[in-house]
Amino acid sequence: MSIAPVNNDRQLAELVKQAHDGDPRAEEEIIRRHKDGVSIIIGRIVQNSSSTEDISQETFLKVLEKIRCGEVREPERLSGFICSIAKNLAIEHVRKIRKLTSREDGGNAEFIPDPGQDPFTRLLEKERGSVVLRIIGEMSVKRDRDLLMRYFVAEEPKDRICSDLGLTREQFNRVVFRALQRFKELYLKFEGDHRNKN
Amino acid sequence: MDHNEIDNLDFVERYLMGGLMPDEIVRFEEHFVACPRCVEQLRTTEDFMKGIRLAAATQAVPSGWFLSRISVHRLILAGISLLLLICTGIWIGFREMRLRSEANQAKGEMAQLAAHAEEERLASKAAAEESRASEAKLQATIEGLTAQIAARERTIKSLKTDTAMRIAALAEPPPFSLQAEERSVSFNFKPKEIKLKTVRASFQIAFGLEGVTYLREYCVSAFNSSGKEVDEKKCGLTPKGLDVVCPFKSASFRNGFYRFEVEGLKNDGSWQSVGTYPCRIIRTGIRRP
Ligand SMILES: [Zn+2]
Repeated sequence: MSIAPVNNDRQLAELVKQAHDGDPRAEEEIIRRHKDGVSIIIGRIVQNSSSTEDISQETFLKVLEKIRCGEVREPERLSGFICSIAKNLAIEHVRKIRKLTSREDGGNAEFIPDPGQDPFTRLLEKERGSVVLRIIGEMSVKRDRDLLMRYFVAEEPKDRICSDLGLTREQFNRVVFRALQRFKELYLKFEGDHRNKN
Repeated sequence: MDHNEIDNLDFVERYLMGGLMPDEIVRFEEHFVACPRCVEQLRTTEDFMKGIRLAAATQAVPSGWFLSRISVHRLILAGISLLLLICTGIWIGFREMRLRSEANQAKGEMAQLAAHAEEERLASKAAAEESRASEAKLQATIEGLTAQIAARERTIKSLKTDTAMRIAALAEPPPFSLQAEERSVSFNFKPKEIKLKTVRASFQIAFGLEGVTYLREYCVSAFNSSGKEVDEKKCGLTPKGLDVVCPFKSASFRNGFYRFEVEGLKNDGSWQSVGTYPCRIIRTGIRRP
């Protein structure tokens, strides 16, 4: 299955042109299209939700500044440009924190401390565990439960699990797909309900 | 990159588990950063992974689903088996603890190595991107300079055109003549304005000679406001008409006040002043063809 690219290059180039001409709606559109993806990229590097948000904002400030100054040389490749700015800022941040923590901990720090999660994030984390348990509990075939544990927890290669459990890749993918669909259904409902309450 | 490739090669899971090659990461990130479908899949899978890991870590998975599915008599059998195995269990427990701690240690070291490798990879990528950025900057400078050169070339071209037009104008005949109607001996007299709207090589100025037609010859001199004589004195025989018409070189005159002094040669050989004609020269432009 192949679908049309979400951002066609010409559309992006047009948005860059409008933003360069000072159209605030074009700027908003650029942010709207990229903000979720950018926070995944940054989150993977910094592993810290509050820093991810800060760096994400910094990324877009920098991107818009570059657009306004006409420094985006290939407007149709804006997405790649945004990725590289986000990654550079995230790496810079990690280095800064590493330097800081290794100074404070006498050089033994190997991780970046997350400065405390808010209660809502903690609640979500707990719920993720409960939802997964519920989904596993609902699974009638032991093989499917094993598959999920071996793939997502032990990170065993898909091919090895398939050959051990006598599954084709399609069957494997179906199990994962169904689990993820059910998870989305239960977890997103929970997340949505609680976000509305907050 | 399309969704066929992403689905067939498990890009989403491999990205989250750190199983993509560096070039695959770049390609996938450039795709998903603006793709709602992939972003959603990444978020769901990541949340699911976190959930299942939390469940496995708290060991709630086995007790949770085993107890709900094991029948009572199987439970009794299991109890007996448990009793029989209790001694070996203790031994296995100790052994497992040791193996676990070794495994954890190895896992920790692996994680550290992986983290270092990832950091190195990201750092080298950042360096490459920095060098690309400075190359781009240099390219921009070159382009800026090229644009400046082009602008200067355009200026030179337009100056050349102007000069060519001026040179062409020099060869043309005087476009107009002006009758200096006011005759004055005093510089306080209101000067006549001579507007050189189209500056050509020369302009003509005419002086009335009524009452002094007995003069055999005449001479006209031009002086600027500092009293310095400009251009050459124009001399000639008295014309048949009533006016003395003299051509002056435009290039000798700037914007400002001038006076033209006309003298005539009498029959007895002496010179007589005919008049002083104050003028204001205004150069208003260059003639375009
Ligand atoms: Zn996609």
